[in-house]
Amino acid sequence: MVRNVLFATLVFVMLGSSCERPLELQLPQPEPRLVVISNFTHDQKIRVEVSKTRNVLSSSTPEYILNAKVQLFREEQLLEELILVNSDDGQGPYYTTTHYTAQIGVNYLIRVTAPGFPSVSAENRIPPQTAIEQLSVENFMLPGPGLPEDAHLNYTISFTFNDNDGEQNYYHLVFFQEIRSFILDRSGDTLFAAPELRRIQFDPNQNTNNQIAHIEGGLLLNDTPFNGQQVRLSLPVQMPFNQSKEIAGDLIAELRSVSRDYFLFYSALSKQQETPDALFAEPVSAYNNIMNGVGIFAGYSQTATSVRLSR
Amino acid sequence: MGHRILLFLFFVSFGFSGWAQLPLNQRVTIAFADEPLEQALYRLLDETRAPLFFSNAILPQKTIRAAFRNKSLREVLAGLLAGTDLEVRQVQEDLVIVRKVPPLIPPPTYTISGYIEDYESGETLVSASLLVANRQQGVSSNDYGFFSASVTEGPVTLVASYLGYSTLSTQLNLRQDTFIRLRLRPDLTLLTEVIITANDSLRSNTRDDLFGFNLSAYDLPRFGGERDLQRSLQLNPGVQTGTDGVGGIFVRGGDAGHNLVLIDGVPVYNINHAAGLLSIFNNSALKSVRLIKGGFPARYGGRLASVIDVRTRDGNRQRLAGEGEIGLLSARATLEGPLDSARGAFLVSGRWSVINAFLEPYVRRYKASRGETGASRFSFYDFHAKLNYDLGPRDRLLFSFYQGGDVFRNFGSRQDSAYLLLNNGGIFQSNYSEQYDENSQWGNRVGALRWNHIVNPQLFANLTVAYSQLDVDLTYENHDTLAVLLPRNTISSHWHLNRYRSGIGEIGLKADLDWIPTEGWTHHFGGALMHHTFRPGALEFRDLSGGESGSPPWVNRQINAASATAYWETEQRLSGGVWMLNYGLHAAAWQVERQMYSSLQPRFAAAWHPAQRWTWRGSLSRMTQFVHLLTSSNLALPTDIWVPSTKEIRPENAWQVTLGGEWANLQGWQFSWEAYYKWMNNLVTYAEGSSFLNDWEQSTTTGSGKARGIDFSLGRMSKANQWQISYSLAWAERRFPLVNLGNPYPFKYDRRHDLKVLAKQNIGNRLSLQATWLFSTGLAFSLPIEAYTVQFPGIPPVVVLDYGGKNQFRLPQYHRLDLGLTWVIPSQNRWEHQLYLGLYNAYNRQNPLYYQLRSTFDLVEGQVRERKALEKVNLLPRLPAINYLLRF
Repeated sequence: MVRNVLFATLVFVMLGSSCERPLELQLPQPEPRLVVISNFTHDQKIRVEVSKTRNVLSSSTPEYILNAKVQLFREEQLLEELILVNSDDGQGPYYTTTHYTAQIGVNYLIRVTAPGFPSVSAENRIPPQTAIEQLSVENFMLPGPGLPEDAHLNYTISFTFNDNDGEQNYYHLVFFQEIRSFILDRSGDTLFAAPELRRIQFDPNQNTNNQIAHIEGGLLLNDTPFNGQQVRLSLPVQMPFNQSKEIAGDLIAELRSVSRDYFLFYSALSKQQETPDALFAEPVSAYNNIMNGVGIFAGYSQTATSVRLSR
Repeated sequence: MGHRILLFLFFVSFGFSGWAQLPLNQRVTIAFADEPLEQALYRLLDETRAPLFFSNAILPQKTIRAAFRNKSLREVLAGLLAGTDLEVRQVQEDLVIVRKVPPLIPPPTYTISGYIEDYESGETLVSASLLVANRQQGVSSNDYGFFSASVTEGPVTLVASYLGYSTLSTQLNLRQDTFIRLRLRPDLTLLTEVIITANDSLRSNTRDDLFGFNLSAYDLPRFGGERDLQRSLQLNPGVQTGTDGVGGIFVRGGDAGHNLVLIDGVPVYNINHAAGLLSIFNNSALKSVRLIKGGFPARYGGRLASVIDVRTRDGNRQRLAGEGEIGLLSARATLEGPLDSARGAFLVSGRWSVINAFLEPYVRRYKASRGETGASRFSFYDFHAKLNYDLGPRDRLLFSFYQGGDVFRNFGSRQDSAYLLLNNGGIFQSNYSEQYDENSQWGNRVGALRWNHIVNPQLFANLTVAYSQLDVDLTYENHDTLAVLLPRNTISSHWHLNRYRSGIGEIGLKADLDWIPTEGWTHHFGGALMHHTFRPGALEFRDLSGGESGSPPWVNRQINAASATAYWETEQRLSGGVWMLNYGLHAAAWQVERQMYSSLQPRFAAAWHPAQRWTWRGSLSRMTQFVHLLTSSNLALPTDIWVPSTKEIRPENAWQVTLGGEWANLQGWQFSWEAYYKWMNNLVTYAEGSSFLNDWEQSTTTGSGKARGIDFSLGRMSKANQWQISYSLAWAERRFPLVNLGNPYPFKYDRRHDLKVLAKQNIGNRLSLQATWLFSTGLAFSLPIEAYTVQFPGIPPVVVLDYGGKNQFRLPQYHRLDLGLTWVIPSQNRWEHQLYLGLYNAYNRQNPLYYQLRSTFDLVEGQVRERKALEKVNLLPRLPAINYLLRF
C-alpha cells in the first residue's frame, strides 16, 4: 500500500510540473558596433563603407554612419583622413582617400571613430600580383535552334597561372562574359545595345575547403593543394543566354591575389548565404578582421586578360 | 567545478575502501627486551587492543629482543613469529595465531561445461550467472549461452540464475569432465516487461561483468506503444539524444557514428526509422542487449563511444509459438518453432508501420488547403529471420538475417494563372503548372552465418561469415511549364531529375574463441578479415527539358578498403573474486587506396570488492575508428553518409579513463556512479557551410574533442515495483580548424544535467502502471546575435549574420512525462492477451526541436516590407497510444 502511495505521489509531482509556462528565448541585445567594409587594390583610391550592426530581427537596410572619422595610416604615419562621398553607383555612401592610391606590399592601418561607438581599427596589405599564364575556352556550345528562350550558354574555361612558392597564397578568380543585346528594327536592321559584362557564377555544390564559389561571382582559391606549382583549372560554365536577343562577346578573366582576411571573410560570407535552415545545416560563422567592430579591411592585387568566344 | 567534484569522489571512494584493512595496518611502536614470546604477545595486545587470539599451548619457548618503531601490526607479528611454525590469519575481523598448514597434494580438477537455456523454449541465455556454491567460484555464460568452469573433484552444487527466471540449483558428484545443459524456468510473475536500468539489480546475474550491462529484450519499456531498444538505451545515464529522440544516440560526448551497433556480432550502419523516432530493432526478435560506455573489452573495436551488442533470439525448440501486436505506429508478427525433433529451431519476425493510415489523409487535406493536389506517404518495415541447428553435441550452426528500410514519397501538382492589365493598355495572361515527385528509400541488410564448435570443454570457438549493407536512394523530379498566352504566345518548360545515392557494405570472416584453462582465468581471442565498399554520395542531375544535357552527372568514386583485426583479452579473478581484472590488446589495420593505417589499442579494467556491499571499478581504454559518419543535418536523415579513412582523413581515436563504484544493500537498493574523462582526436566533420552535396573528401575538417562527467544511478527492483533514478553531470566540447573559426565550442549534445526517473508499479496480478520522466539541460545551438549588410554591385544587398560563436545558446530545458498501463486480459486457454494504453508527453510539454530566423514579406503602403521573427518548431505533442498483443 505504501508503495502504491509513493508511486501515485511521484506521478502527481511529475504532472504538477505541467503548470510550467513555455520558456521563451532571451535573445541578447548587444550594443551596435561599427561595421567597416573596404576592399582596396593597387593604384586605386581606398574606399571604406562605415555602417553599424543591427538587431537580427530588424529590416535588412544598412544604417550608414555619416559622421565617422576615418584615418588611413602607413607604419603609424597618418596618410590621409578620408572624406565622405555619396555613391553615384546606387551603393551607399562611403569614405575615400582624396589623392592617395594604394600600393602593393604596404601595411595599411585604418582607424574609424564615430560618436557613440568604440574606436575600431584593422590592418592589411595588398599581396603581389600573379600573372595569368593562359586563358582559353573549350567545348563552347550555343543552344540549338528551337529551344526555349531561357536556355543556357555552355563552355569550359581553361585557366593557368603559377602559384608563388614559400607562403600561403589566396586568390579570387573573377570572370566576366561580355554580352551584347540586339533587336531588329522595322526596317530589318540590327541594332546593338552597349556591351554588358555579366559576372560568371559557379555552383556552390562544387565547393571544397580550398575552392569556394563567391556569392558575387568567381571562385575563391586557397593554394594548399597546389602550393608553389603551376595551376591549371578547367571550369565548366553554364549561364542563362537568349540567343534570339543576345550575342556573346569576350570572356574576361581577372586574377586577384588576395589577403588571407579577404579569402576568409568572403568564403564565410558566401557559404553563409548558401546554408539552408537551421534544422538541415549548422550555421556558418562570419569572419571578421575589424578590432572592436565587424567587417573586412583587405587588399588585393589583380591582373586581367580576355579571350574571344568562338564556335 | 567539475574537476573538483570528480576529485572529491575519487578520494571519498578510496577513503571508504580503506576501512576493510584496519586491524593489520595499525601502526605500532613497541620494544621487547628478552621477553618470552607469550609475554610479548600479551603486551602487544595491551598496547594495541587488537582482536588477536592464540592458544598458549602452541607457543614455542622463544625469547624476543626487538624494537619496532611505527611499524604495522602485520610487520610486528611477523617479526615476533619469525622462525616458528606459526602464522597470523584474519578471520573476518579477528586475528588468530595458528600453526602453518603444510602444503597438500591438490585434488584433481575437472571441467564442467555446457549451456544455460530457457526451460520452455530451449533458447540459450546470454551472460547468465553460474555459481559453484561450495567452491566459491562463479562464471557467466558467453554470447551463445556456453559456460565452462574448472572445479576440484567431489560433490558440487551448481546455482544458475538469470533475470526473469527462477534460480536453478543442482548437485552432482564430479569425477570427470562433465557436459550439462542447465534449463531455467521463466519466473511467471504478472508481466514480463520490467524497466530498463543500468544498476546491478538487473545485473545481479552478471555481477562479474566488468563492462556495461545487459538487459533482456522483454525489459524494454514502451514509447508511444512501441517497445523500442534505442529509446530504452537513451534512459541510461551518459546516453544523450536530441529532442524527442531525434538524431540518434550520443554516448558520453561521442557522435552518433561513434557507436558500434552489432546484430549477432555484425555491424549495422543505420539504426533509425523515421529520423530516429524509432529504432530498427523489432523487440520480438531480440534476446539480449549489452551497452558498454567505457572500459571496452579488447574483443570490441572500431568505434569511439560505445558498443551496443544486440543478440537475436534463436527460436523455440520445444513447440510452435507465435506473437502478434498492433498499435497506432506499427504492427508486428512473430512465428517460431522446432526443427527436426528439437535439434534446431526457426524464428521469423516482421514489423510494418501503419502510421501512413493517418499521415497520408492528413497531408492530402493540408495540400488541398494550399491549392495543391498530392500527398505524402511514409512507411517502414523490418524483418528478422533466424535458424539454428545442432550438427552434433559439439557443433551448432546459426543463420540470422535482418532487412529493414524506410520509404518516403512526397508528390503533388499545382497550377496558377495570372491575368494582368498592363500600363500600355495591353493584357498579360499566363498559366503555370508544376508537378513534383520526391522518392526516398533507405535500408539495411545484415546477415550472419555462424558455426559454434566446442573444441574441448575448456575451449569454445565461433566462426562467423558476416555481411552488412546500407543503401540510400533519393530521387527528386520536377516538371514545370509556364505558358504565356497574351500578349505573345510562348511556352517555357523545364524537367529536372535529381538523384542522390550512397551506401556502405562489408563482408568478411570472423573467428572468436573463449578459452577457460583454469579457475579464475578466461581468455578471449580471435580476429577478423573484412572487405568494405563505400559509395559515399553520388549525385546525378539531369535536365530532361529536351536537347540540353544539363550539368554532367557527378558521381563520387567507389572506395574499396580492407581491414584486419586481432585481439587477446584476459579475464582474471584474484583472491577468490575480491579482485577482477580484464586486460588485453586490440590490434587493427586498415588498407585503403595505397594508404595503410594500423592501430594498437590497449584495454584495462579492474574491479575490487573490498566488502560484500561495495565494488570499485576503474578502466583505461583506447579506441580507433576507421569509418566515419558525416552528418549534414540535425536529424538522423539518410543524407548522412559513411566514409572511410583515406589519405586525406586519418582514423579517429580516443582515450577514455573511468573510475566508479557501486553499493548495494540487502533490501535491493543499489547506488552506482562512474566518472569518466575522454580525449578524442582526428574527429571528422563537415567544414562549416559544407553538406552532403559537396565532395565529402574535400569538404571535411578534422579536429579534437573532450568529454568528461559523472553518471549516477539509484534504483531498486522487486516483483511489486521498480524504481530507477539516473543522473548525469557532463561536459563535452569540440574544436575543428574549419568550424567556428577554429575556436573550441560546446558539443551540440553537451547537456550539463540529465535526469531520468522511471517507475513501475504492479497492481494485483494483471495490471501494471509505468511512468517515465525525463529532464535535461537544453541542447546547445547557434543563434545570430546581430546583423549587418554588405553591398555588392549587381546583386541584392547581402545580410551577414554574426553568431558570436557556435552553440552559444541553449534550447529550453527538455522534460517529458510518459505514462502507460498494461492489462493482462484473463484467458482460459493458452492464448495470452495484453492491452496497453499509453500517453506520450502526458502534460504536453512543447519541447522545441529548433529555432530559426524566418522572414515574411508584407505590402505596406505599396512597398514590400520584410518582417523577421524567431520561430520555434516543436515536434511531438501529447500522443495517445493503444496496443493489443496476442501470444500463444
